[in-house]
Amino acid sequence: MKKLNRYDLLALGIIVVSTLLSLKRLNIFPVFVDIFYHMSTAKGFDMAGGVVLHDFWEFAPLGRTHLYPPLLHVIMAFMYEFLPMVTVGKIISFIMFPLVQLSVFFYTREIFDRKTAFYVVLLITIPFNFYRSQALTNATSLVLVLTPLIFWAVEKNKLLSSVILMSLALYTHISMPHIVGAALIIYAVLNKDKRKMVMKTLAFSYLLFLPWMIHILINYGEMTSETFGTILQSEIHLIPMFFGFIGLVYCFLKKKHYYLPAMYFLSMIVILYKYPMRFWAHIALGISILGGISLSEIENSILRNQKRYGLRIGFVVAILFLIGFNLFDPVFSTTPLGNEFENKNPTILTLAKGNIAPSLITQETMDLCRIVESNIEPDDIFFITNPTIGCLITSVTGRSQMQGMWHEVQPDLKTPPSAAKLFIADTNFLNEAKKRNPDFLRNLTYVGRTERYIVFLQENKFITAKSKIPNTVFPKILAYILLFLSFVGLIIDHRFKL
Amino acid sequence: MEREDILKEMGIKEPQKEDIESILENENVDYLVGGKKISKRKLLLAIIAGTLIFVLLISTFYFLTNSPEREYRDKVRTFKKMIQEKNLEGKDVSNVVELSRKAEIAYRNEDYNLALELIKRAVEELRRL
Repeated sequence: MKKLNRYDLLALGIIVVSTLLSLKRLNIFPVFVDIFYHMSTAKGFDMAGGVVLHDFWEFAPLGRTHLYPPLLHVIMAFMYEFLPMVTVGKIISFIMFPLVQLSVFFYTREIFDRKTAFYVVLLITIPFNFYRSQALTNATSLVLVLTPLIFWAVEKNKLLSSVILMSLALYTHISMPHIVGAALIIYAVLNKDKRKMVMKTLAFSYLLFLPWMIHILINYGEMTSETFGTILQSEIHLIPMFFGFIGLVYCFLKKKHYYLPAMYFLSMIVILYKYPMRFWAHIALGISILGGISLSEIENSILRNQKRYGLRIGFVVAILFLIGFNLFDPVFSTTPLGNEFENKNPTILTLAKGNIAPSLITQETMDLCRIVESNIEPDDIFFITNPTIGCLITSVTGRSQMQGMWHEVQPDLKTPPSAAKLFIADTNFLNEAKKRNPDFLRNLTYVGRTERYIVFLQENKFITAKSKIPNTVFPKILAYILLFLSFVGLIIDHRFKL
Repeated sequence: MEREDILKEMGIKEPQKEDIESILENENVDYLVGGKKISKRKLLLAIIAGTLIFVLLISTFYFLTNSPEREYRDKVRTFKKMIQEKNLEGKDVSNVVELSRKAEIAYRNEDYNLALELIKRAVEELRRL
């Protein structure tokens, strides 16, 4: 490990400042919306006693096939052994941005140099949409945290670490790790020194992933081919993108280990096909590495021959960039979503100003959880017009809901809301339903309300359905042991240079 | 860059082997390690090529998205989203409805600039409610 120098201190300073500001804005976590799916899944695993292959907490009572790779949910279920689920959600949502800053700092510092690492951390901290996506798309975020570590392990020829990290990534998200795999394969084609290492890493990690991969392939037909957003919904942060493209060309000229970040960036373009909206956020990781390399190299080439003051001037330039980029982040946007995505300030400035929507965990949603918990039994099912809030209620109360999130996998059959024991409707829905069918509230008894939601109990006992917990395929204690062993493996590989 | 080149760059002709690592640690020269050494001309080439790709990307997106027809459709999406999210109970929405209706007629008549202007006003009205 290299000794710390002043560029390291600058990079670590950025990480510390952004983390402290995030702590100051703790009320925004967990950031809407994916976390509630993950929280309810972790709660489902906890209730079942381990990993299950069928969602019983969503689309109840029939549920749907559970295809989401389970690592993040196992981690969350483990944390839930000691902390309330809401706290677990807050921590997971909060931690992903500092973790990706640290992992990319570690990779670029060890494989490239300290000045590059500083510029990479600076560039990755600028776009607020990346900060937000790290807090929002939790499983993808974890893969983005693992990616620089996988690259580090491959470059350092640490086979055990690279296999463990790649396997962890594969067990975290259904598609993002394959982009890392694709980047590694193209890299291996271009850099023959790394061919064996990459092939071994991918062969062993995909072998370890085989059980879940077979499960996905068997049930592949249940996945929808829906595309989310359009290719033109872009939010391009001009500074990282500009330096990123220079870095892309530069890496091709520089060859060897410079190929890998370039290949990663090019592999990420695949996301545009399925998730155009997310592409412009996730791309920050690849583009920042490339941008950091180019900024560092441009500065070196200008100042390298200034023997006397070169290093000092370089450092002053770095500080000027640090201040300038954190105050001014020009964005080219074609995404008129009309919500907080419209924020165009750099991350640190946004966090300092605090103009961010608060979390969905409010007094109202917690009241809703209390009403559900006190009115129905654990195996009863509730219906709510907003399935995202439904996931939050499930994660806090353990009661299954009749709708669900993560619509990429559809249930075979949906049960009508009339079979739910508890019916929760927002006021707009209720007014509309009453207009269409005045008998709508027959058999429903009012049990409580919050600002936006009204809760009714289904009186007809003969038509209410019950939720059933399926058998686990992997007990949670074994999953925790496996997780622990993977960390031990990483430490041993790092300490003893296997 | 090879080790000898690094030492040459640092002006050290014959250092002891064990000194090399500590020299690299103490000086800010770790950027010299690794990769093929490239000339300033090639770096300039990277800067020009990277800038060209950047300009090409931005201009492509600009020309693809800068049509009032597309902007109108995006605004309609925002409008619909706001209608769903806002609690409009008991509020006078007649002006908003009228503006959106006129915008739709203008859109059907392929007067996209007018349609865009009207839907923008409808969104503004809705925001105010």
